[in-house]
Amino acid sequence: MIYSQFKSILFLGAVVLILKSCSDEPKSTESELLVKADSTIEAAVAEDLQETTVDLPSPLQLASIFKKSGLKYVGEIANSPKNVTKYNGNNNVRALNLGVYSTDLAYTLLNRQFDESKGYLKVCQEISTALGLKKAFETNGLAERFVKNMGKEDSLMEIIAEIQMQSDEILEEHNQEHLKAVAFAGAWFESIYIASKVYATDKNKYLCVSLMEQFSIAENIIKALKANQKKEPECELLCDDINSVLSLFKNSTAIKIANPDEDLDFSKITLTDQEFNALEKKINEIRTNIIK
Amino acid sequence: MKKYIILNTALIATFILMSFYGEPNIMCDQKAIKDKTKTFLDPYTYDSAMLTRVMYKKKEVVKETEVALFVGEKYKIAFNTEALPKKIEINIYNKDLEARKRTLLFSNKDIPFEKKQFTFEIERARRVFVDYTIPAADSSAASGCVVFMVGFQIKGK
Repeated sequence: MIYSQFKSILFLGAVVLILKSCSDEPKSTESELLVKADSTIEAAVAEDLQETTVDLPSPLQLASIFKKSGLKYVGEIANSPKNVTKYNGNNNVRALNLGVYSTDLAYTLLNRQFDESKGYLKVCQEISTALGLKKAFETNGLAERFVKNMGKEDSLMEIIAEIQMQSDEILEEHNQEHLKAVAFAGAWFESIYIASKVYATDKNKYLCVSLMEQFSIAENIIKALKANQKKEPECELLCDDINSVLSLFKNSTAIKIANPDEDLDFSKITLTDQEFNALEKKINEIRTNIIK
Repeated sequence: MKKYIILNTALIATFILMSFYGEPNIMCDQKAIKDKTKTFLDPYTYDSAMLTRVMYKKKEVVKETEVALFVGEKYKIAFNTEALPKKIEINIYNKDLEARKRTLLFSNKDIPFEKKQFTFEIERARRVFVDYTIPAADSSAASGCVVFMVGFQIKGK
């Protein structure tokens, strides 16, 4: 009896040692893990001694920037919460529209449209649950706190930021960072869609500057999506969509004559009506396709 | 009684053997680390976070993260190195590591290893590059992780 227990313990110890030695062994396995953990993109140089990754902002920040530049609230522009039933196809569609609704939530919140915000929080929670992010809303009773703090704009925005942080953590823990990149692409398209629609009617110059600023992060979104292309093949189509908007912007006269090596001051750049209309049309077309 | 002595001796011997085999890796509890880092963002609002696994290799490794920012906004970047077994070099530049000429905006060079959390504030930038230079070490060296978190100002508060 004692002998068999003794053997079991030694066997257990041996298994642990073998497993541990395996984890210390080949460098290639170690670097693959690093690639997975950090969404590493292609720029690895000189035998993986250099790695590059991209960090994207939150949908709340995008909405906050537009709000600061004077983005007015126009009802009916945002995607209707009723459309949520359409987004059950796959996780790519869910993530993309979670991004769209996250922007709509922030847009209504920053414009103190609290009843609408409640509806957008509900659909964000619904899609998040389908994506396995239910815990993000349950941690510290965030969803309940949102309802209790209705009307207190600052508290509500802090709660949204907290939900974003919880979602980011869950996605990272479960190696699902590709969904974060897809969701951000959805949020980005929705925010430039809303801004371009509002600008088309009020011609607020500050809003146009903020809109052009958004194009400066388009390449970062593409990098983040490409890093995850293996996990989410539809990322390629999304990259094409972003590129089609970006190339229209880059082909505008003011951008073409600017020095590509310098960071542009968009407050000194003006798009012609024709250039803006082409951009608006393209953004509208892609956004319609996302929410259909 | 004799049974227990034999069992205990075997258990202790096994664990001693295992503990000599290699240094344990520092636990990287991403939730706890990020929650703590967030407290250093105040009064800024959480925007994004990046956790990077650090494994020491025979050669120096550089890991770079491009952080997308917007001109006209103010940001705070908070670092937490408490899950690192030894100091790594943390630098923030205005351009990527392949740029011919780039400006160093921040460095942890003069921050003692004992200070595990530190912050950096920046405005009027469209992007920054956070570089971690992981020194060469014996492959049995413990691994760890490092976090940085970006905070922004809602409504210019």
